[in-house]
Amino acid sequence: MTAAAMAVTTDSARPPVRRRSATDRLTVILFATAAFLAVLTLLISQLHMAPARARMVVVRRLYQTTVVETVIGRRAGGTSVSRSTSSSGSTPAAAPVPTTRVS
Amino acid sequence: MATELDYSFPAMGSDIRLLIGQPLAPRMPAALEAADREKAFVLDFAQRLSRFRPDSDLSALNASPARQVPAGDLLRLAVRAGLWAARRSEGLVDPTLLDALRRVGYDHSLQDEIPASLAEAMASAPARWPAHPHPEAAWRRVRIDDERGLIERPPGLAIDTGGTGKGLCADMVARHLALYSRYAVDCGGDIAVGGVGAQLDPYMVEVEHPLTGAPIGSIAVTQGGVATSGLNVRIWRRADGSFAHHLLDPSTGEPVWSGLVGATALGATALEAETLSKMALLMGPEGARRVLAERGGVIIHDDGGAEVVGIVQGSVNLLAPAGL
Repeated sequence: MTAAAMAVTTDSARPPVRRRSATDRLTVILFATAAFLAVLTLLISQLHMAPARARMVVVRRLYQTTVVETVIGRRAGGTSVSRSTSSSGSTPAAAPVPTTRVS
Repeated sequence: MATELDYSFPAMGSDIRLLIGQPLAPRMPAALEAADREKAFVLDFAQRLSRFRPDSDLSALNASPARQVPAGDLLRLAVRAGLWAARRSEGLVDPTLLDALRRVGYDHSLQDEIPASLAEAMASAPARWPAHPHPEAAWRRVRIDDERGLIERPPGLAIDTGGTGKGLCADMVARHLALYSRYAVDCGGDIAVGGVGAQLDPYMVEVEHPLTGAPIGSIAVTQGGVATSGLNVRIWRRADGSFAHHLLDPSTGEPVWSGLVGATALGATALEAETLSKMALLMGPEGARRVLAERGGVIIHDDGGAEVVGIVQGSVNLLAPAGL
């Protein structure tokens, strides 16, 4: 085969290859888009079909009580001070509780 | 981060306890400074209104032979509170029973004395009977003149502000603390509660059983007062062997045995709660149910069993404690 003939052969073979490649790419894109739209449609339809759930709000209040200052006074006229710090925390503890009683 | 000061000291023969949250306005004193200030107020209150101190304003009023006696703002307020309780109770909580109290033996402070056994007292007590107002209602003859700063009463009519003093004191201190986020003022078991914080997160006030001293439950209090009256603390044995206590039937001047040993009442104020709890105890189970129905409360029967009256938020063990 001469060089001219090879050139002709080569030139005549290129266009079909380019067309196939472009077609494949277009097909892939179309399939991907279709699949994406199908999934999207499925999700939207499921979202609409799902029963409405009551929104549940859980409020947790936790206290951590620590005595940071304690002064014990004399029995007569003395003062006892305990400063309690209440804050959110992981250790629940009792807040100061007053007591009603006979006096 | 929220903080709450817990501050206690002895006064008025009892333990005083202040729970104070954060100041809500700028330039207000911190909780500890406010508590120190209120302690001074309570000690002054107790000193000026004690009937056991000869130098108190109250003793000066009762010792005066004059019909009209000069009286300071605090004494006039305390006597006014006693008269308010008498009107509220239609004469059952009577501030003019001081002579009768002295006659039955309550002529000195019982603060440091061990109370007699309430169980023994109940075993030997007369038949249960509700108290009644005194028909003469001497308290109606007491007048207060704020313009001239006078108290007018028949000479010799002794007045006792002790029946309403702790409730009034708790209310006054609570008023001073109105601009703190939350507060509870406990004057020997008569408690005033308030503040925005207490509205959102109520104080759970424990109710102490008068026979065992153990808590039988707790009541949620967002605002107002709660108080307890009972027979177990100021009770003694007389020379003749009979028992007496400080809650008298105004119609007889004798200790009342109504079928109840304790009553806890909720009220708009600690003063009202104290008045209602005394009324309930004096009236016995049937009357107590009527008196406490509106605001709510708890009554303790002679057998130790508890009964919740009206609407009370919280939980109370109704069973009589074991061993009674």
